[in-house]
Amino acid sequence: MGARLEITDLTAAYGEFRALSGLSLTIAAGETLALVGANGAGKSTLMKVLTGLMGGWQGRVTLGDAPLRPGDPRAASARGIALVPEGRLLFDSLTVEENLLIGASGRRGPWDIPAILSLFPVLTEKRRARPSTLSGGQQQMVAIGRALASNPDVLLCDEISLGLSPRVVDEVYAALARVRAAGVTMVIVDQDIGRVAGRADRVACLFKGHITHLGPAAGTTPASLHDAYFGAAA
Amino acid sequence: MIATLADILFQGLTLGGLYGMIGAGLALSYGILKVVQLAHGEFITLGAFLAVGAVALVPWLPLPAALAAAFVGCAALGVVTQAAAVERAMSFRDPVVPMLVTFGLSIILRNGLVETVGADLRGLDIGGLAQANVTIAGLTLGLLPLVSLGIALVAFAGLGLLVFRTRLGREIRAVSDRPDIAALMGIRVTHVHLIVAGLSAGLAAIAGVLLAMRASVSPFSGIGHLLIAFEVVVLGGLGSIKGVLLAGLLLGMTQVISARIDPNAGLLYVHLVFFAALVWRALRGGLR
Repeated sequence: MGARLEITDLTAAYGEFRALSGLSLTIAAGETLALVGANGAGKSTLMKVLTGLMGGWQGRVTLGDAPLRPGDPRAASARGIALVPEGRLLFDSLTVEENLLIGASGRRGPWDIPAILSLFPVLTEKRRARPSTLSGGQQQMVAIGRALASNPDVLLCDEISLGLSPRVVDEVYAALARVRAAGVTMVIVDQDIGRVAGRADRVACLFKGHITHLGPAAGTTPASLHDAYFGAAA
Repeated sequence: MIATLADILFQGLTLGGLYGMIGAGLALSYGILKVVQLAHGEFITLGAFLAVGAVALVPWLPLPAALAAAFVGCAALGVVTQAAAVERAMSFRDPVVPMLVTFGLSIILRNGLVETVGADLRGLDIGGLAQANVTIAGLTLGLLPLVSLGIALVAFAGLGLLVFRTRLGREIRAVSDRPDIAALMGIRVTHVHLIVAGLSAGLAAIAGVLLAMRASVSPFSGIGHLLIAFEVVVLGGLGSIKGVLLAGLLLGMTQVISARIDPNAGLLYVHLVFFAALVWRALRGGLR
């Protein structure tokens, strides 16, 4: 179900500001990568590049055997890349159920509406509600459900625990563990290094658009990433 | 007394339905595309003239066919102008750019109409429908206003069903909320924009036909229609279908009642009600 993602010599810039500089990274099919780094490190830019929300980058990004087309979110979606964006960015003109339905882009797979509601049972009674009336945790569940509805090969989760209580974060990660078990390739961006490292296969740390650490998640702690996080290892 | 009240209510509903239709396309354009479509009044006028032209060409043409001709003609032009000019203008951050483009479009359409059909006033020949009456519960009602109200209500119901009960409607609302995230869901955002532009112009055409059924229109009528459309849309809530219908009904009812009290007032009281509603909302902090 998951797909291999290969990023080679990726450079992306906003005008004069270079957000990613010659970044190379390979994520195996079915692997979960924890992506950490300070604000401005380039994590969200990498998410935008992979989902087609940002074009005009240099380098090569390959999903499976074929390269991704820059700046084409529809093509990225059709190829099986889905995003849980930072801040959720749900459609508030749509009900919770409609948000999930709109995510279903036609790719076949195990994640239909009943499967998503069984992953997040609390959403069942909120199907007719507007997302803005839900708690932050429930909104995050809708955002994950919406992304899963497209039956992605690669699931990108940007700032997955931002603004959520520890209990809700545990619930969200428990759900992601089930997604991981289904074989979906995942990249999870989280500021909580200890928590995300405990749920990933490998950890990559970004600093000013460069990878300053890439290694197994086992044994990774905030202290062990200190130098990479603040650029001392660059 | 009761008959008079019922007549006022009926006339108000009829005119209100028409005003709602005048605003519907503009509400759609602003609500979904975020474009203030300054050519909306000209699309209304063009719709009227398309129906007038269709009936002139084929005198036995039934009203639904004239309506369809006007709808399809305006919708097609709406799609073409969106694809050719407005879509590109929307890519600019400054909302004034698409506004200027639609302003230019309004001038082209108006002068194109004058060149094609002349500057004379025209009305839609609907035969005996104009004089026909029906009696319902002891009240004699004109068939023409009844048909006009029916067309407006069916159009609103259809629009509501499309937007809130179909997959396309979900996509339209998603694009309205967050076009970039909608694209991530595999939605063809530009495609949706074209459909909305066509629908907006098509709704304007229906309003134009309803106008031409009850009064004459000229190629220069557009600006007056646009003013009413703005009042309806602002009063009803930008982008709200139900709000637009209710605002249209309020303004229509206002005009009918005020005409009984002061027959020479024209649209004065309609504008005053709109102004009072704005002041009331401003005082409640509802204007941002």
